[in-house]
Amino acid sequence: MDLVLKAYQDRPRKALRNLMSVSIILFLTIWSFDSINYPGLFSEGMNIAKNMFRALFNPSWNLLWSLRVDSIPVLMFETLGIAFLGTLLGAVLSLPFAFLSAKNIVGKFSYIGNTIITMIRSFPFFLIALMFVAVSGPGPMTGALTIGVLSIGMISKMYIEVIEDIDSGILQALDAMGATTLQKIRNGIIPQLTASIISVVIYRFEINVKNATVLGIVGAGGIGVTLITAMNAGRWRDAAAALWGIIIVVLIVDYFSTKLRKKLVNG
Amino acid sequence: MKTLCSKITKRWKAFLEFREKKRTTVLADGSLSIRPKSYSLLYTFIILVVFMFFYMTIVQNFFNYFGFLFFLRNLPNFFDILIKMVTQFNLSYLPNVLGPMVETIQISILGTLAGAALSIPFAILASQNIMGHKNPIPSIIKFFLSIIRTFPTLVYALIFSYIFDYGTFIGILATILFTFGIITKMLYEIIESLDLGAFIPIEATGATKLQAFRAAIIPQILGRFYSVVLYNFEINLRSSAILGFVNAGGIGRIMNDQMELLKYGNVSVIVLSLLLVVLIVENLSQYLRRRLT
Amino acid sequence: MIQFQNVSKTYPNGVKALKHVNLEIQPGEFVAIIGLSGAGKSTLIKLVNRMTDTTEGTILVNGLNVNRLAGKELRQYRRHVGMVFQSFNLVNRTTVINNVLAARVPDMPGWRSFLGLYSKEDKLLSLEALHKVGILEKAYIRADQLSGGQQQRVALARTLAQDPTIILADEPVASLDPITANQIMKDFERINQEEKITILVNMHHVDLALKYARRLIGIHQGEVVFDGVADNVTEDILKKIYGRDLTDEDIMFKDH
Repeated sequence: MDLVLKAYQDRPRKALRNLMSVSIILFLTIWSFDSINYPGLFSEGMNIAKNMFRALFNPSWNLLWSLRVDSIPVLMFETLGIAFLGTLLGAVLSLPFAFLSAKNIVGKFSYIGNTIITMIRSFPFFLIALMFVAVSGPGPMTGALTIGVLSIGMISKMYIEVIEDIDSGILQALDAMGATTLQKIRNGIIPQLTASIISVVIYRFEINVKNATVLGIVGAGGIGVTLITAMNAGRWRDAAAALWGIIIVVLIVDYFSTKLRKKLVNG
Repeated sequence: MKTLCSKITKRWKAFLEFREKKRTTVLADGSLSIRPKSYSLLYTFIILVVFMFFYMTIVQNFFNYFGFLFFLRNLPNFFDILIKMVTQFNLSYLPNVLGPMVETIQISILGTLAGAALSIPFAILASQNIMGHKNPIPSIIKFFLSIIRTFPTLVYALIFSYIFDYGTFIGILATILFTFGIITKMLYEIIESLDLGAFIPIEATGATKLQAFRAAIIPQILGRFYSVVLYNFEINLRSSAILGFVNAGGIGRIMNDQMELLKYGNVSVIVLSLLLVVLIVENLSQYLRRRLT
Repeated sequence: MIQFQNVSKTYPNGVKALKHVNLEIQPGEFVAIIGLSGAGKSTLIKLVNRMTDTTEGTILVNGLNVNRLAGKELRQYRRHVGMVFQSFNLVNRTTVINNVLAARVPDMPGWRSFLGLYSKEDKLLSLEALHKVGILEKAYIRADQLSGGQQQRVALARTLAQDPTIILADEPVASLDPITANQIMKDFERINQEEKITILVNMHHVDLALKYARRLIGIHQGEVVFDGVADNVTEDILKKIYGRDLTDEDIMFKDH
């Protein structure tokens, strides 16, 4: 009986911890409520919302079903192109960053590369877009360059994980059979990396397609241009067509990306 | 026409047979080894064609229009802003950052918490293993969730900015919607990967689905749920700078203002302070996540 | 023929791994090297293909002074010496056949090996090698989907695809279960008999060594304390090699 009592008394005391975390969250919430300045609807707000909602189920069909220069399919292709080229650029640019920041390659100097990567990751993306607008003007080229630089942060971070995972036993085996350094890299390291790297790049492509849809808002090409001009002009049906274009393409890309990555992991 | 068709099918069959033969290897003692079909060459070809297509329509088109020299001449412009950000660095602007930074943090907290709270019932409804195998509700909800997830925060903020007057309210609403989409997905994936061993007997005692969920599932997922919420808080904080584009309050607003005024020294103060806050939150949440799981 | 002439090996940290070893191994022999871990078995094997250097003495393989080899000559020499490791050392994320084909790489022109264009002969040779170890049907499966024993067979096939005259095996069965270990040793035995390849295998488990090897070399603290036919090994000799009575961990099949 004493033992039971003792076990009861020694039970983990979580009540205090739970109370503390709940009160912290509660405090933060109440403190944050202070930030809501609800200025109310625009005078036309309710009407606009209604029109938007109606437009969503009746988008501009002629924009969705044509192949004119400014039609949704053409712009979605451009958006996909921005994401595709940008992802490839990012995948290539990330290689040196990753190799110079992996612990098993540069040892304790890895923090230098890691700091640079964190900086790139936190750089607001429209600032990068703005810098490239100064180089190549508004348009899809700027979008692709922006996406490329933007992708470095995440892709190189994931590359580093892959590289730090390399099994060096195979190098010993290749050494024992008389392979040169180049052959060791080609047959020992690259086969270990390819599947993971392709899977990382596909994943980032999925994200970049979503990013590329909003790039137009800052003038870097793609569907976003149509979206914002249509909205500014109050052409809700055109805007709805753009939104449907985004939904369809992103869903398709998501589906294939998930499927492909699953296949790559399982062989 | 008919003969042509049959000719083509014949050729195709012969081609397939030829491929099949090529994949078979006969060893010295007569045993066979058949290589499975491989599509990697086809995939590589497709990727190459897609690449060429996009390259021609975007990059080559650009060069044709402006010329390569134009691009090279303008390349230093990229560093122009960067250099201005460093040389005109203006620390005296820092006090102006504090107010909006607090606002940004508050927007992220509210948006994340509200999105997370909203996600719990929907995640339960979207979990096939809880709702039963033949229940159609999870698939329907999953489909709507994937539509919600197609848009980044900025698109939601843009839409709301035509309905509500400018202010943080837009930012909070957009953050809630975006967070809701992601957290619900992560949560139902966690729930669906769970072992339901404990859920069914409790349900069998006569408890409702909700009570059984409380008793059997929540203890298993609470830690992971917290870490998902923290992770989303980080994402929202990072994306808060973008919201300035639609005047949705917080740090993004002053960033946008200073960029339009070409005060890049002030912009870099804003960028650095956001980086600092993100790093602090990242480390804090990493510490918390380690303790939670 | 492999000849050790007064070979010593001292590691930079001062550890004397081998002391004045003199050995002669004839072509086609199946030799097991036994001893405690840390006795110098591994060093002895690695000296043959120069994975480590000797500090004293000479090693002659078919009259060739191994110590003097460097660069291209060393790589060419290593082509004729296969090696099998305890941890298999395969590329997990690629197919079995690609792992075996890697053995053909050093003989191929650079651009072909870089593009991964293997010739028909190379492919046939690799498939034959897989057939010899009995896993031909696994050729196009990814290596990480095989069991430990199957992976070690792939490693063995890779070595065979090199067309070696000598195979060195460094604790090839140490991380396998007893039954699989037995099968792998049978593979070694068959290869030794059918292909007339010299096999040097070092191992910890006495019973397996006694069962498969015709010649045993016992090493104790860097010195060769026994060298002879497996049938002549007695309890006393084993005691000398291991420096103590045999325990369960020295025997693979404990119920024997």
